[in-house]
Amino acid sequence: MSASIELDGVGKRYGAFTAVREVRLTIAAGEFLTLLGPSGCGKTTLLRMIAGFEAPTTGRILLGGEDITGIPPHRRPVNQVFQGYALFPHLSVRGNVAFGLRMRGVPPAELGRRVDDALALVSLEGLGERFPHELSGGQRQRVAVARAVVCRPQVLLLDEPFSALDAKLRQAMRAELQALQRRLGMTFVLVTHDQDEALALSDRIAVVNAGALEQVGPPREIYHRPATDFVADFVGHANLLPAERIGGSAGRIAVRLAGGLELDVPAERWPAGRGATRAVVRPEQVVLRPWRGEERPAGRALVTAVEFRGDREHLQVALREGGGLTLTAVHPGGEGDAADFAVGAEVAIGIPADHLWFLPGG
Amino acid sequence: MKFKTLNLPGRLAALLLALLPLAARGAGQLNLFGWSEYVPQPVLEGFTRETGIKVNFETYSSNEEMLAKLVAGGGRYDLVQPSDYTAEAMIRRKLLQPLDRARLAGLGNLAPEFTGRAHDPEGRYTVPYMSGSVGIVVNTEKVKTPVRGYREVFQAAHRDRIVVVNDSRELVSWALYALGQPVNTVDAASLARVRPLLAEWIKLVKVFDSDSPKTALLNGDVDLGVVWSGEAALLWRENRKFQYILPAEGAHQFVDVLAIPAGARNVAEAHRFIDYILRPEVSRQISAAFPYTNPNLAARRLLTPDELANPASYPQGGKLESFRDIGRAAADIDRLVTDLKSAK
Amino acid sequence: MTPEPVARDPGARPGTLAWLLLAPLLAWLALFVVVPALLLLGCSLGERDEFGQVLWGFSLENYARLLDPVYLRIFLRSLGFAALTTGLCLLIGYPVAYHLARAAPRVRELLLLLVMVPFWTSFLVRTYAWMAILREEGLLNALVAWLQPAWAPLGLLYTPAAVVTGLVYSYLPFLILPVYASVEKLDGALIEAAHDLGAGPWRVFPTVILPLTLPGIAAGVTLVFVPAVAMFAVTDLLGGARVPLIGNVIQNQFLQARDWPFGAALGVALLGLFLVSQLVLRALRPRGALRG
Repeated sequence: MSASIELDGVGKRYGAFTAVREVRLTIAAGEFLTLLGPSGCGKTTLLRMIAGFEAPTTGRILLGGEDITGIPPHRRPVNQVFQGYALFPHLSVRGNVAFGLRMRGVPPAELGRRVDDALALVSLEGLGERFPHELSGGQRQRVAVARAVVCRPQVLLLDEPFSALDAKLRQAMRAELQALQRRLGMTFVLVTHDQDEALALSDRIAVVNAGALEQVGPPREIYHRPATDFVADFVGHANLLPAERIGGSAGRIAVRLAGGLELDVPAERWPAGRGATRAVVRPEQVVLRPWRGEERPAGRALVTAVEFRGDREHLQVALREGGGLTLTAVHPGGEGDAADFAVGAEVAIGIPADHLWFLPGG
Repeated sequence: MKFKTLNLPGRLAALLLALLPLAARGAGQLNLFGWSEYVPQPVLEGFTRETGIKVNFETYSSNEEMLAKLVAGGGRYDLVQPSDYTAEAMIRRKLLQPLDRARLAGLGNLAPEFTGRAHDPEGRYTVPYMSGSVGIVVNTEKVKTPVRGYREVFQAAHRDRIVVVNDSRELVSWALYALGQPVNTVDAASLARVRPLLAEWIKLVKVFDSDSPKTALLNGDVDLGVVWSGEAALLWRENRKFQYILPAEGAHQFVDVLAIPAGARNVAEAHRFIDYILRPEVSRQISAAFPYTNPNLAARRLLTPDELANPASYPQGGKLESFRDIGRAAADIDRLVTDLKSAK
Repeated sequence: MTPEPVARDPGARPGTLAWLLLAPLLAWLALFVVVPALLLLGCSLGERDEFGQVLWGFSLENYARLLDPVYLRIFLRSLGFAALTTGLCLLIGYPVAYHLARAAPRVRELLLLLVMVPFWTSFLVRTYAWMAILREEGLLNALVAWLQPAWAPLGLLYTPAAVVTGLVYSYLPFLILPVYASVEKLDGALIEAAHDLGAGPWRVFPTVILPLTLPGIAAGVTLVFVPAVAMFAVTDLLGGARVPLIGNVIQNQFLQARDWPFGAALGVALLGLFLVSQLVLRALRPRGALRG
């Protein structure tokens, strides 16, 4: 039975250093939540506090409504998939998976069945007698997952589980993990610094920075409506352009962006009561076409750098009228028009007004 | 017989030294192989100063050790210091060469009771060095009742307060004395006879120590014991409460001698050394350091009254007897005592 | 993070350079281990003559004598002492090594130094120091007298307890250091994983920590047990030479009893004992990726 987690003012201080500042967060039962943030932001500390390996200096942790703050890790109905997998080298795969069940005194017949089930769940049937040092990275990760899941915890914690895998494997494992969570309906809390992972897997993402939550929400919300500079720039790439309100009529607000671009945006997208803020322009929102020499000067730009990424190209374009302001844009790959957007090419940029996002905080 | 044996490092050192090839040749050298703590350093230095002969001094802690190395090594040693019964066996096996008595002027200094002894009746191969006995030492402050013989030492009242030398042959001899048996007849029958008595005695002993039995007495861990007279003499010097008595049933008297191995190369130097030792003033130096019974009468006249009064150095009366060589029986004795000790 | 297994070419053999570098060690081993062992074996098959010399030959008489209950009893007693010593060293040493390995780095270095400081003094001197502590007028009794004047002085010296104390004291570092090395290599994440899976603080030890530090324990046990069986100096000094152990018996054969062949046979028997114990230890080693 999966449960909800509530972090009620949970904070952690090490002497003078504050790793986590009074976090308030509720994770719903059955939800897949990712704690996303850069290294050292405190996300792992949070995870460890939920697991019970660190005690919060302030606040409480509630599991399914019950306060588990004082309960030691071996008695919490919470299990973890560790970053290095932490498989017991002296036990076989079966031995590893059975460990938690053994600790709980599960009778041998049932234990055997559940271990078989768990191994089947992660597609490791037949490898039960191998030892960890005889397995590949991906296989080890699956053992770690099986070992945790077989105990039927109310919450499963995952600490950067894919960091040791190569890109292809990572993608495959990601899909498997998501399918697993859906199947089990278990509450998953994942810690990662990889935003692709977070966006792909989560029901909700909690972006963590310097010990505090910057924003919590579904992936699309985090991506399309970041609440702060940090979130905007950490999740995906953002061109943050100063934006000034220059007028407005019914339902629309006239905005001038740096670089001279003027747009009419829907009124509800502009943060109320503000005269100026910043626009979050995602690279894929920048429309590019070759400069044909006849348009007004606003929007004219020069391609200064190109980064080939296979399926697309990332371009740095410098606005003529922006005092050198540079945007990152994305151009779909495809060999056809590559020359039009090579370094030194003159392009015209356009930014569609309707889906632009303006930072509420300014 | 000198039993103040070396401790482990000393033994190891002696063994190691014995393995190193010695340059035994070269005039002006003497390879002396003697008991540890029996030949004072000043005596060696005095000899070298006077004669210019360099002394290479090696030590051993048991007759058996000395024999083993001598027999194995050959002509490396010029002078050895066996106990009487060992010398007896060595003479029989032609391991010693006869002495040139003409070169030993000081022979006349020796007391008559120390010459012409059973191991070398004509004194052809050996010259007495020092003598001593194995007897009873009592801390008279702790033990008030008189102790006159072995049986009075090994009583229930003294359980765990006794120290004895860790020498199997000695132990067996005392039992033989106590039973009135001849001490030099060691065979299956005599061993069977002493077994029950010895078994009881061994249970009463607290410490077996051949290296330094006086330590246990000085530390108060034991109150009495049967030890070498030299140890007892040192105890008496330290504190007169330690009295020495020769056991009434009979006591072992040993005479350690100087002798020249058959294969020795520096024979002349060896003779000079022996003669040097026979000098009264040199002999008294030895007595001063190691207060055993000095067989040199001329030296005795140079001793202080205190030294002469030491009951352990010059005990009165007593039935004294020497050990004779018993050959293979040594192994049987060892087995018996090991057995009895481990039965505790 | 658990590293990938290092692929090794199974067909690779040590090259010339490797043999050259190994040569001094092999020569040393041959000269000081193999040859003496062979000499010992040869001597054990000989006999003692009247004079105590070795008569080389081929006779199993000495080995027959080994079966004498006197010596068997002594063997067993020596093994018992050594086992007791090893057990005590484990009991005392394992927790010390464990906490040493998990201490903060600077504290750890200091503590390690303290563990090794006794080696700066000769073994014999340390044994004599124990005599000074344990004897009737020694330091321990002085302390007792000061704290509880009414008590009689403890007669600790020249008892088996004193011998065991001396042995444990001398060999404790030999157990602490290998166990420390083993514990140090223990991945802390494994212990957390065990907790996470429901193992309480007391269950983590037998299920995870013990199996993974077994190589260190095995090494430590060997380093303690083997020398302890043959020990004779400690029994002589601290035990008053009252209870002969196999080391004392062997010493006697070479010095007092002058029966070198028998002593050699005893030595060979001891050697055989150790070989057997090593084989047993190897067989007991757990499967899996435990490399030292």
